[in-house]
Amino acid sequence: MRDLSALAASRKAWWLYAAVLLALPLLIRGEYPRHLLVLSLLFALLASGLNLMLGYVGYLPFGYLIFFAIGGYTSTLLAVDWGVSFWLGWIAAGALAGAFALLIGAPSLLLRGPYFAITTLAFAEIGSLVLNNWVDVTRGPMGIPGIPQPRVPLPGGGAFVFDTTLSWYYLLLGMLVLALAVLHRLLHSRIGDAFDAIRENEELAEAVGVPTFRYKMLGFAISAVIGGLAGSAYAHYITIITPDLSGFYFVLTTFTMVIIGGEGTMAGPVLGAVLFTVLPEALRGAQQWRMVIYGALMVAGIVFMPRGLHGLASDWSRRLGRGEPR
Amino acid sequence: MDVFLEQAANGVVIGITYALVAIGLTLIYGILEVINMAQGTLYMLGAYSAYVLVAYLHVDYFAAVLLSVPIAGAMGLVMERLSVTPLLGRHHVVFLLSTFGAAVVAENLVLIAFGPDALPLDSPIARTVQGVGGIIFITQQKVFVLLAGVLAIAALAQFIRRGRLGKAMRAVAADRDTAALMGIDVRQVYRLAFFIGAGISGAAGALMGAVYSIEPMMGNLVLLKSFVVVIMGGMGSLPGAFLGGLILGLAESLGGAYLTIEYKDAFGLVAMIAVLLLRPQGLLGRKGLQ
Repeated sequence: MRDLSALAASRKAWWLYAAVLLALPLLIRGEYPRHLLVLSLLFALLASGLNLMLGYVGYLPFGYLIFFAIGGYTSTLLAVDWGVSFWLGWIAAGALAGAFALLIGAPSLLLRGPYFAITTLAFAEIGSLVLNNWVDVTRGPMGIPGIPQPRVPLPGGGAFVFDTTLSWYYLLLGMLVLALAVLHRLLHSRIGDAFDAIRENEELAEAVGVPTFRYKMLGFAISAVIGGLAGSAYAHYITIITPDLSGFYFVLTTFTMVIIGGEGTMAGPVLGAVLFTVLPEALRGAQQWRMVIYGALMVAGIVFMPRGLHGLASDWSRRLGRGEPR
Repeated sequence: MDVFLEQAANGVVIGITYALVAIGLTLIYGILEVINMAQGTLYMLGAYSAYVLVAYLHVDYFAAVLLSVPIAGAMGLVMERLSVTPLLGRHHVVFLLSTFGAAVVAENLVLIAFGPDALPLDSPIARTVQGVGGIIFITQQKVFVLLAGVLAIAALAQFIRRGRLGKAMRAVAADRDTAALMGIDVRQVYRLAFFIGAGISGAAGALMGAVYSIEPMMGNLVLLKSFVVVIMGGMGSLPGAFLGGLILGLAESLGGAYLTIEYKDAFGLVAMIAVLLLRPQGLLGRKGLQ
């Protein structure tokens, strides 16, 4: 059990993050900086989904980004081919990603450790082959442009369209808060306790009667639902989708965010998402060095700060709070 | 000429390459219990090492293939020092991420240095066609890949079975703690395993690079393929990796010709998932390094 002061400190940190996030787009002017904020929130959503599996259940879903792509393609195809509204498509995207997680999880979650990681990677690769080759449906590697943006019909007959970065910012903030609230409730329930038990000692958990497989499936599915919702939002925000959604760039970025931010904490992935969306802009001159830096930071982060930036920050704040000089 | 035989010959050649990379992967796993996500990257680095030697330093291609072994081996040692050694004793999943990070760094450095385009690795025998028994006609380069690959695997097997260091490696694979108590320098064996595992993958890259061409991301699919091979053959099993490589190479080559070319990369992945579920120890797998 962590001591209460640490719990209070992390909750205090949470309120701070919330206040900053609400005021931020009003303080920052200009489309491009706001675009970066929107992307930060999108990645925060995606990273939080990955974090549930990686940080809480303690399983490494290397192929996680396929759920991002499944979500993106689901609502895109519903909107483009069938004229379904974003809101319904968004829910369908989460649902289908979750359903695929159950399909993939049923065999993969029988395996432990690296075998699970590699199996999910294999499924993701198969998925990416399908996205690239099932041209009749996915339009193949060229992708699908002109994805409609979300709209809300107004009583007067018009409609409010989410076509500004500011409107997207608050829409995504809402989605993120919703996801984090669900995760928070989940992790502070018996289910969260089961995840802790599985992560710390799965054999023991099984021995004392925790139905570990069922809980792992649940964790994997919820994690995928969040990934699918993020993918759908991403597609309708950027308005073009290609199979790259499950590709290398997103895999590296999302995993870096979770690991450097601090896996197994609520705020860590959010922190990582903001940092790794905004930071690359500061390194703009070195655009092609971005991947090199990400990779190096990932290794350095694992070696030097196993609990991520958030862990580092809460260590500091605890020391300051107690007035320990160390 | 017979399409079936031609495809089968190609399959065997590709299969040997898969086997070489997979043997590197399985050797490192057998000794360190680390899954090296940079194994495909070392394949790429071997190819680029040979390219630099041939194109810039005008070294003979065959000498360049030989030299690619210690060069890729040394690069493997650097990766081990930076992304594996500091983490020894931690949960095994962190190695997947740390070696993945190392692979990303190496691949993108190569991308920055040489650009994204495919480059030719010139071999003097790349276009000389060789008839075998008057029915199969393949390039001499492919014959060379096959012979060099088999030779490398045979030499490694002898080294592990007979050599003093090979014995130390088997001892560490069987029981790390007891081996340490018997006076074996376990860290030294780790470095040796990484050096050999990286070197043999690098050689595969230098061999195959002259059959196709080379580009910075050439190792990514090979990494996935080597997982397939290692899991089909059984983690830590050298004969399993050899056999698995051949089976996968043949399946892809023949499947690609007769079934579907778009999904030929999926055969192995599906087979791997099936093997993991039905026979997790692999087709030939037992515990320990064989």
